Amino acid sequence: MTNYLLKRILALIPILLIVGIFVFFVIRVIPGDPAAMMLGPEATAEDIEALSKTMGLDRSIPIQFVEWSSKVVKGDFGTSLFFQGQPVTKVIYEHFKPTLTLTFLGIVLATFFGIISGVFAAVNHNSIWDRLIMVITSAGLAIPGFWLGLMLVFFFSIKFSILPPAGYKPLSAGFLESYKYLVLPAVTLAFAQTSLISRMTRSNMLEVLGTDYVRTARAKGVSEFIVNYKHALKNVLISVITIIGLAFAHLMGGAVITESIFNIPGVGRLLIRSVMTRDYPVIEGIVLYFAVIWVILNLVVDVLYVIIDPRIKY
Amino acid sequence: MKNKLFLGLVLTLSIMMLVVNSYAAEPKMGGVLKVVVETDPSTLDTHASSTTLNAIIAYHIFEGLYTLDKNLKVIPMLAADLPEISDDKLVYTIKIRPGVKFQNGKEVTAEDVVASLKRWGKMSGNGRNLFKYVASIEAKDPLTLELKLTESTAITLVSLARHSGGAYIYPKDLCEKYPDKPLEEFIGTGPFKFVEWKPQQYIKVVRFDEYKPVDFPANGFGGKKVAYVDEIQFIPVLDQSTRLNAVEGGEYDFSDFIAGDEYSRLKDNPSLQALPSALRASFVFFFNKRAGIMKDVKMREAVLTALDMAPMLIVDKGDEKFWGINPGLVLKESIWWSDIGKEMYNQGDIEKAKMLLQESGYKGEKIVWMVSAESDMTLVAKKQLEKAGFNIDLQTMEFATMSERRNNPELWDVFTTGMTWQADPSMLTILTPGYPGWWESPKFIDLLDKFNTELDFDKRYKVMEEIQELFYTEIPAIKVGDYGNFRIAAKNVHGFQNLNEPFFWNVWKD
Repeated sequence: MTNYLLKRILALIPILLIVGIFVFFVIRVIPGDPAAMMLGPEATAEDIEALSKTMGLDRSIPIQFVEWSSKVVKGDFGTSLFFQGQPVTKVIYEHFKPTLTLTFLGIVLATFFGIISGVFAAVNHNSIWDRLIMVITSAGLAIPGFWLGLMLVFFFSIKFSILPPAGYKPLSAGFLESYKYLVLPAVTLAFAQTSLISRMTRSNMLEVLGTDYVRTARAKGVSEFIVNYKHALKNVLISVITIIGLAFAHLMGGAVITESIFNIPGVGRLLIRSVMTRDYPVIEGIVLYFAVIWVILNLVVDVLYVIIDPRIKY
Repeated sequence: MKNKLFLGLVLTLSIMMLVVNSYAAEPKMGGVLKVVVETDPSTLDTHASSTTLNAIIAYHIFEGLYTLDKNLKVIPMLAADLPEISDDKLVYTIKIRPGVKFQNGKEVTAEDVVASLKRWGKMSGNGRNLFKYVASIEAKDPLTLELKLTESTAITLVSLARHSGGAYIYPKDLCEKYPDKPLEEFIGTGPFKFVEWKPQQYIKVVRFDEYKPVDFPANGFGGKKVAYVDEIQFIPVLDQSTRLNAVEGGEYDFSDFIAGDEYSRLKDNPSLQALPSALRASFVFFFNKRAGIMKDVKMREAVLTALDMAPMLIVDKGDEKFWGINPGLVLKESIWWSDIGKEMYNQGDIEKAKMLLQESGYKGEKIVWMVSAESDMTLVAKKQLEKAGFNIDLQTMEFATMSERRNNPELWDVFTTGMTWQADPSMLTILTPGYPGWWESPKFIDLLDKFNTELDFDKRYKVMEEIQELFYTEIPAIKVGDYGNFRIAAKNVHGFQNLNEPFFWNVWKD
């Protein structure tokens, strides 16, 4: 197992190399100039050229690549072109924190309600509850996130001033104070994920509840609660954890629309802004961050498989 | 007895109401003002960038020698008074107000001013524009500097007074620490001092307790400035509906750039102040005069003749409070305004446009028209022009791509953009020869040179009229119309002066 983990972690190196080189060249080839973005729409070509020179952006791409890659191998991802020369790692870290907090809350809500409702629907198959849960989860998958977010703001912030309409406070401002701002965006994110997890759980549970060993457990006199939530659910978790892992990785990439509606300074908005302003060092840093997140989360999911199902060995 | 009691009660209540009412009208110190801005600024160093947003935040922290009053006339700020100008108009002697401190506690001296202006003259496009005429600038004594010109120019004071790309004064050691890159530390003389900048979260400034105001009343962007609130947070919110929700929901106190079509819903909202601004910018279609089909003035005239401006402005700005028809190159309130050329403007004459197209020998070639994603009015222009027989290839792209492509005359024929008001007409992009579109005709260059070097206002005004007449003859671009912003504020925000650009000194909260 240890060897397996080491191999998976070492595999990060070639992945980061390929991704890094590819992104470095592609963003410099697309049109757009960071100097022009810094100076604004009323700058002349001479102004842009002068600033480009100062920023070193007039040098050839291979020279810029040599300089960048020699720093990256030492862990120095350079400084942002737009955020006052702040180190890229610091800029991404500042945006990572809100994304992590929001994602964590969203995934907790989605996992809890998704699994509970999925099991409940399966156990009460074909009942009114099952049908109701199916309708709600269908709506959850169909409703666009931006519409849901705006509706939540309308009802809970504008019509009835229960929760703030937008903004973000870090955990350092207090747990309740911080989560007050995250409830609506977390629900917006969680609704679709809950629906997906619920349906996946229900479908797998129905399969498992029809197996011989479940029939045997019932025949032995084991209570329905233990049959459903211990024996059956454990076998469903493998596929559900895959969904949760994918959802977590996806959300850690930043939920741009939700972050925009609720004005949360997360990684999604940072990426969009960096691309629009051609902040090359930050774009490169974020893409590498995505690669790391995906690789690590996939590894975590694989390790969880082993924990849940002792039959799996690497 | 009962009557006396009753009278006493009425008197007491009246006095209480008077006190309460006068208390509400009096400015109050304290509180945090949360101001929404449409995005993070690229920098707070106006020597490094001329965007309006950068200047709007920067002028709370920094000040220049001069600024603009409500009529956009130059008034002193850090300077003690308007300068002494030599008879030959080449030497400007400027005295600085004594006892003004930077936010690091040091007093402002002429050395700081000279270092800042030299840096601005090197880094800033606006600075380079003035410094073309500057022979030397030096400190004569700790509170006096002398600016010598190579030839007289009308743009000296107005260049030093403008905000976007402004000649703000920094400590000399900061200018030496960042000689050619944007500042990473922000120390000025303004009523608020910089505290921190969390990208995409906020820029925080707090009251500068040792701020020294000028001794005349508030006037436009100058005069006496008082930091009533303890702190201002400038919070970037990219999405328009989020800006609106956040102020309506009570989370933030002020926002600019709200969609004009929300005005009818919000104007009677009891929890908000609906604040349409004065018209402050113009939409312009720039023609490529270096290459391609729009080099032909007949083609440009055909486009101008076909266009009906009102539908374009309505689709972009909504309520008529937020747009205006105006043939002048400057805003109507400007001392430079005239309506010369109005017969050419806003004709909406499709049949005449068709004739002009025929005369130019147009055979239906594609006309490449670039627009950034934010503006729909070009779609309306396209529809109108297609009726006249134009073949428009409308290319919508994000701003970064357009800003690169428009520097290459082989790639486009027309592009749409906004043009913000300026302190002097010579600073407008529509009158900048080097700006994409490249109005570089000998007649225009000659008139522009006269405009920049003539000092007498009446004579300058006549030259401006000639420039505008030439504009409607050579048609280097199309002035579509003017537009303003829709701003909203919480009910408990007072003292806001709804000028071309917002500012928050002299503003308080209940």
